[in-house]
Amino acid sequence: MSRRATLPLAIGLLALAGALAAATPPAAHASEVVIYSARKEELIRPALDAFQKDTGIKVTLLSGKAGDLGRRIEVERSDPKGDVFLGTTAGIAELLRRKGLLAPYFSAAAQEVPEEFRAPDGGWVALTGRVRVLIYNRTLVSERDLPRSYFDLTDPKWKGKVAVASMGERTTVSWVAALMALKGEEATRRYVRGLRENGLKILNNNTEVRKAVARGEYAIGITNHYYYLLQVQEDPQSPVGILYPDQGPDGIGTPVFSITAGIIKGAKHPQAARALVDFLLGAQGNRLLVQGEFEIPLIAGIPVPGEDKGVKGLGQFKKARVTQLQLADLEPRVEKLFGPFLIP
Amino acid sequence: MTVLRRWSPAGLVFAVPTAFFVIGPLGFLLWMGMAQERADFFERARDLELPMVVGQVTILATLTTAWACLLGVPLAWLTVRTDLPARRFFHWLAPLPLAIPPYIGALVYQILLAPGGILPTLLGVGSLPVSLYSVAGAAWILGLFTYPHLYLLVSGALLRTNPALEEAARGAGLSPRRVLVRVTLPLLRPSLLAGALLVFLYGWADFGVVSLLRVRTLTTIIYEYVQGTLDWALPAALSMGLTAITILVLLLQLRVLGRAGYTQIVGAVKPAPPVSLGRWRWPAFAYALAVLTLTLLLPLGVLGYQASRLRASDALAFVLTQWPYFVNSLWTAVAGASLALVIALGIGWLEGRGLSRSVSGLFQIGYAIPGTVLGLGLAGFLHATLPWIYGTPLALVVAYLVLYITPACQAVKAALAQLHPSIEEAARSLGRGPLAAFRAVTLPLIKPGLVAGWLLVFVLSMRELAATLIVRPPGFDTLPVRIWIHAMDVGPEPRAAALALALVLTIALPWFLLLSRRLRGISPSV
Repeated sequence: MSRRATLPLAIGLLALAGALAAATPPAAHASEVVIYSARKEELIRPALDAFQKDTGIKVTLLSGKAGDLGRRIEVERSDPKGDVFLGTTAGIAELLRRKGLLAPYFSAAAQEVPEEFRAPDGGWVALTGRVRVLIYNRTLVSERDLPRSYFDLTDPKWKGKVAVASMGERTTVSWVAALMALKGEEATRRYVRGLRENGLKILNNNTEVRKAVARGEYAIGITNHYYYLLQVQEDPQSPVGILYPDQGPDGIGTPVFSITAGIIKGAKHPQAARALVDFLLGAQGNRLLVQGEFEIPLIAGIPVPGEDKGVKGLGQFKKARVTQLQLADLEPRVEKLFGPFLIP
Repeated sequence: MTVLRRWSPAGLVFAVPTAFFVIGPLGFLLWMGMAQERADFFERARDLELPMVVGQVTILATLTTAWACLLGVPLAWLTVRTDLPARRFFHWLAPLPLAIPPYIGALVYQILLAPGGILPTLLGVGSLPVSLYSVAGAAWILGLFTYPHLYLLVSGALLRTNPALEEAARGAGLSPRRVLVRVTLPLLRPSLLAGALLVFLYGWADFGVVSLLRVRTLTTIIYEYVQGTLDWALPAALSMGLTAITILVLLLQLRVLGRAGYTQIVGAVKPAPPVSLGRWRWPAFAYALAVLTLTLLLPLGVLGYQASRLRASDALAFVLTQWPYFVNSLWTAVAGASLALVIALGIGWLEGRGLSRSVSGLFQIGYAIPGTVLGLGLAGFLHATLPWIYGTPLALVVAYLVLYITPACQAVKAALAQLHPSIEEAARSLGRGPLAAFRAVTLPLIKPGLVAGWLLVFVLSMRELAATLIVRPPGFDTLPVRIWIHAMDVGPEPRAAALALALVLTIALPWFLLLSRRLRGISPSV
């Protein structure tokens, strides 16, 4: 064979080999679990690695945003490719449950999780909690000037100084849903309009929010509590502080959201999927999850990461009186009403 | 009889499956958009301020085009027609920034210019007076990394046009400037227009850069809804709108180019005596160097510096964990490019012999579909029609094929246009079969063109992000996807930079080799 033909031939063989490898369906053995995760990959890795090591079940992770993953599950309804869905709030999980895309599972371990953090039919369950706090730049805002409430942020003194993540982050949608649940639709409309008129900046995601506040581009960020810890971990010198808003006697309290897990209906590996949910709710797995993600535990007996840095666990602050289901119910309405304003 | 011959069975074999993949995703989106409730669509469309967004994207695309012209066109003229110092060197490197996907360019300039970045820190200020996070910032990035399209087309045209025309004009007493305006530029018009429209469309449908720089465009709105919600109606409707406008621009391109007509003169042209720049020689050199610095040297330097901040022990572990993603990228891009080329070759051969018509015109639609839109439509469409492709890496190969079959067709057509069918017929009259004649005569002659086309599709596929994000199967991330996840999770930190550098070098290497072969026609500078 001439030398000239070798290269195209090699290319052809490489492509063919790849295509064959791709077209052969992977053997559906029980020792695999496919996770569709909306969670930051690095943060849940330790818990998933421990699961893989403990059980010998291979973990395949598809990281994406909750909406993208939910749409996949919807498209794949007749032939699901994923086994477990991990959402960053209850919103998408609840929508999937209503469309009949999640299989109920009452894990014995789930009974430890407070009822307000579970779907009534066992379609999804919260694994860990995240608190919707304010973070602030300590060099730009002095302690006594700090806002006490989300509703202070429409004050002209914060004009152009507040940032929040876009709708691509479900926690932003959940946050507005919490306000709507507690204050009603009209008041929320007025509040969001007030924020926009006050120059609320929409950034791509919560990571940008924490970085922008740490750099002093914005004085205040509306975000989740673990972003404060992530920022301090990345740079211990960061001048960022954490603040639990609406704690006063007439305040609505600070909302808590949750990482939710649901088993996809018709999953190829239902046993492995259940084993995973059990593991992540069990003492060892939940502790790794909580520590890896800097979240707050929903199960008693697991330490709160960052307690020494001012992070509070459940029961240590005034929690907004709204269940995960209520939040999830309102999220589609929030998307419709406010989606266009929550895009960069 | 002639009608039958135009759509020969062989033509249909190539045309039908490809058309299926091009039209199918759009059909799926149309269906999803129509099937959902429409009552509040208009209300939300109003809240999204769509006219404002469309206006903003138009400004962005226009600025991008102007900036790319400013970078690429003078550089092309300088390297091909003047006594610019080190002109071969510039001609060699000028197209190389195509290896840097614009979203990586955006990462680089974020590291450099964003608040807290290298330059503001050096200057001791919080942020620069002009923000990178703006339409102007996005146009700056897009122009910097799309100008090679213009450079390649314009320098190619300059090499092909007959300098005798310009000499005649000079002989008739026109000043050099008048020669440029009256003769050279009109001759360049087709390639200028083609390049400008290519860049315009890129700016119009870009997703990565505008998303990183927080500029609201149709693609970012679609992406936000795809990421954040389960809504189909709004993203599907916006996708159809976006694609419709893009197709319109393409049709306009066909009309304009059709009227302008191609004036290439095929065959050997006597190389032009270089225009003497005189005292402008060194300022021109500084300009050329500045273009290369902004588009190539600086980005590579910044990525290298950022990647070098990775601790050595972490670096090795990191390379090992990322290796599979690199392999994924490589073989899907190789498969996509090979498949595209084979199909393009079949169609080009048939079209060149009048056996089938306007098949490649149909594929232009694929080129007009923004990646985000194609991903959304292709996922649903494949699952409904070809479930054995959906959820496998082959879905990525299909996405690359649909997106980049057009450049492959163009490369093949350009290569085939240079030879007359009679050459092959001669071989056949000597007793060779059609395939044997093709292999013995045509293939060797068009091989350089094919290699160039293959490489182009390979480069584009290697760096594809928007569609890949949506159609990749579980556990099968590509290099651009990993860069994206890192960049979005933690910003442009060392690991994202290391991956970006790996991607750029992988793309650059074959591209570099190809470019080394096209220095003919550029005489060494003195």
